[in-house]
Amino acid sequence: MSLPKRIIKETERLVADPAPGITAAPHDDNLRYFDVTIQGPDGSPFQQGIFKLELFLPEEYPMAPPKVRFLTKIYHPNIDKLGRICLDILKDKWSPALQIRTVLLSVQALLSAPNPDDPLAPDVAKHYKEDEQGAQRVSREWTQQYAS
Amino acid sequence: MHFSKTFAQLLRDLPPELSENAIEYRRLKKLLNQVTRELAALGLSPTVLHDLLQSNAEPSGKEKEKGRDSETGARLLYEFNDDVGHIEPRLRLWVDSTDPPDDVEGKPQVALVAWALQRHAEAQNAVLNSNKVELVIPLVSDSAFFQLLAATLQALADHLIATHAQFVETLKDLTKVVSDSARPVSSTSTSFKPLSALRSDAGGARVSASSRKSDLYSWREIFQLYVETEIFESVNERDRGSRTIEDAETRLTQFAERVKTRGLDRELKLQQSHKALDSFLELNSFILNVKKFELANAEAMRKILKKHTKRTALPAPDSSNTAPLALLPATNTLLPRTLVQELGTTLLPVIPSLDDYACLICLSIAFKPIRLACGHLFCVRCLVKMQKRGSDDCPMCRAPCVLIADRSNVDWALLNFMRDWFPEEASIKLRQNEREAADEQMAELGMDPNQRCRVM
Repeated sequence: MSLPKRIIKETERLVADPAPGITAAPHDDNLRYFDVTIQGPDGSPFQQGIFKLELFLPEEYPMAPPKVRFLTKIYHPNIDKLGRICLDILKDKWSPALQIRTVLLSVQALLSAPNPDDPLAPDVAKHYKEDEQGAQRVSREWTQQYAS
Repeated sequence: MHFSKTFAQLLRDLPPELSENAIEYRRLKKLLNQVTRELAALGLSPTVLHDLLQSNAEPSGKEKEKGRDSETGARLLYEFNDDVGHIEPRLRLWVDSTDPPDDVEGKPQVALVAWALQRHAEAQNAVLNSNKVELVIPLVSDSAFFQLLAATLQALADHLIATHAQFVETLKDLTKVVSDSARPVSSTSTSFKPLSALRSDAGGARVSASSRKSDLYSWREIFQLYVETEIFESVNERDRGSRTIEDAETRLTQFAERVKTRGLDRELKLQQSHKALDSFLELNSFILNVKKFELANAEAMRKILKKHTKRTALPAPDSSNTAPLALLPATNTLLPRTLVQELGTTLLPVIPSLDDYACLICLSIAFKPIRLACGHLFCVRCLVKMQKRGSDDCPMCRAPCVLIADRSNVDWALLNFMRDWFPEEASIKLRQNEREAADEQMAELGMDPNQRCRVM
């Protein structure tokens, strides 16, 4: 089965001109499956952390969004224990003009701007809403413990 | 190695019309020796000057508020007089003295300076009243130094303007030749198959059948390679900006080699295209030379001014003392960049680039092109897929206009343009679209879409 031209082009550019703080490399045996790392953005509790993610392009891509999941444990109101991410563009707000690159940049931005009002991990979200500083401290601790 | 040697060597590698207009480093250096001698003759050795200038520097900040009257000894100012139409550096010296010399005008400079220095030495120990005597000491050799520097910089600036104009002319000619030799074969044809066009334009506006060969695809590949090599500037996210000369030089060589190894030069069918390719490469080497030239001059200028300061202890024209720099003619330090940009905005757009006509969903040519009500453009296949999924939002702006799109949304003008300029890509895309549509129909007739067998 041949890989659509679009995926080939995207992959080439991801490798040749990676976005700052983001790497994405396809598996040799499955070119639709990517190993991803995202650096925690400066100024966020995830600063200096290197987070591993997996990204999979379903058969319908780019008509359907890529499936993205954190592999590294992270204390974030919009990311649950299984690493699933609550991000609108990965679901109903997906547009086929978005790309792997833009998706990963959005995930990186989500680390800078947690949204406890639209939680995926209710306990973390509650913590963030009631005691933001305390929650951020836990996020920092987790980052040190799991993401470095 | 001395900089004068390095500089001479740098210039030797450049074409004479550039190197002849370079900063005259050696002559400036010789003049600088004269400046030192002149100052020494006045009794103003670097140590003395340093000492005098130091005493100026002190009453800054809080002390300044007390007023200058509290100072003792002499005060010295190195200033640039430009009233006369050229730069004339001079020293202005104030000395506290109870009994100024009788005849300030008539006495020789040396004697006056000696007297001033004497007063200055005495003043270190005694408190004197503030009866200031002002001496102005014109510096002849230093004037010659700055005048030569100004003159060379002016000549340099003029030369660069002429160079620029010449470059623009050459580029214009080259652009004409390239656009001529890359004219679409099928521009008057109703079919977009490139070969059939040879017949169909017999009665068209084209000059003659023999000149209907086109190097469109070769030129497009050459330009694409050129853009990808990013010779002078990087557009990568991590190292965006100008490249170093060494890097640019390596990349330019790489580009020329790649054109050869891919056989792009041999593929050019028209005689004029071959000449144009040579001219294109020459223009690029020329930009590189201008870049080298400019860097060498900037370095020479920096070095000679640094030497000036070091040898004389006179303050350097720097950020806090910009007077002499402001008086010197400015050279266009952005010329290489301007040239690169001109190349990119004049010549390269002659050949439409596929990237500008790609569908943002499949990233291949947007053929057939459908213009949605919101104005965004996609290929028909991707929009059909979206319609089948019931997605109504424009992928670019989310305006709900995908489902209402139909045949009336075909952008015919663009379709014809694409057939002219991208005949091969358009025909391949059309075949792909048909095959994919057929596959989909098969799938809809009962095969599981995820398991469908694709015969390629």
